[in-house]
Amino acid sequence: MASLALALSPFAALAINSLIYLFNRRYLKRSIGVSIAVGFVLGLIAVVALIAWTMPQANIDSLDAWVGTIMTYTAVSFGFWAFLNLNITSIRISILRYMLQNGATVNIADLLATYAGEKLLQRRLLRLTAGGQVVLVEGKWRISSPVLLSMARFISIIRKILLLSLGGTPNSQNGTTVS
Amino acid sequence: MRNITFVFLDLGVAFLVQLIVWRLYLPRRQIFAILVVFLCTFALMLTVELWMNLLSRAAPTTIFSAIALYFSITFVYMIVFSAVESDSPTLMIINQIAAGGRDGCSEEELQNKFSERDWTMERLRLMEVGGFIWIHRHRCTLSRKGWSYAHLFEASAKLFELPRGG
Repeated sequence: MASLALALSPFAALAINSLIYLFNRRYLKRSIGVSIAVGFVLGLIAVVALIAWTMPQANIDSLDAWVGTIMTYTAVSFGFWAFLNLNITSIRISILRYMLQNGATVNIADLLATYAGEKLLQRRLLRLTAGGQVVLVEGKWRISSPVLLSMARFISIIRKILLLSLGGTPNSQNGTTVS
Repeated sequence: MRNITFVFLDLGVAFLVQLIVWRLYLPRRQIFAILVVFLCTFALMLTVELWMNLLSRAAPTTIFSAIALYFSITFVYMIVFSAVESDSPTLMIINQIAAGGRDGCSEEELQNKFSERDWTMERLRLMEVGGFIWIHRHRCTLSRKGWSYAHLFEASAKLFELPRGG
């Protein structure tokens, strides 16, 4: 029973994570970023508590219990964050929802007008400014937080490694992820 | 042998299999192909490990924990790969502003750089390739798959109180 509880603890913690997010977002009216952060931290506390509670009775190596379980929780929480983030930032998801709201068939011209380059740029600059990532100073945009810049550089490095390793271009024309 | 050791060994083998497959043939749907490669590799490795009695003393719940860790890391990899595979407009903006250094980047420079690509048309083509929409005579129609995903995202946006971004 303890072993089963330990095995399921990352998912129980993920459920707590998402419930805490919902509570913060819907009832406390906190921002999305704060709700995600609070949910993750409280879920992490929950998984640590579950590991500490079940490990003495569970027939499992202690390193597997602590590192493995926390890694699983972190990974599934990353998936939850990515799902929320894609909902907000993804052009493709936004187009899907726009089409659904407009009878499932739309003119390409209407889509291109609704999702014109200028509008996409301004929406992103608004989000980046609200998130404290960039700031407009005397008519020039500057980086105000290293978080997204670090992510951009990390992805560039991963892209170079994958290009070298996979021997080809991660072909953006073939991708099917909705983003 | 510890779960973690098994899991990272299996992930390493799966990545090597991916390298080999990608060099022989670049899959049309790379993210789906990654899932298939990692799933098949894991099934094969688990069979070998069971056959070699490496897991004979492991409880079912221990094996379940290993499976959970393996597939959660696989999904993280798939998410990161999808970000690598298709350029993100947001990260392009960040890179462009960062390239300006201490002088920053003017609105005009940013607009010029951003408008070098038709982001929306690129995404529409990707959605068509992915089977989410049909494009015919200047009109886009949701496929059944697109319709299902649209409902999923619409429902989750309402539940999690998310704005319609883009």
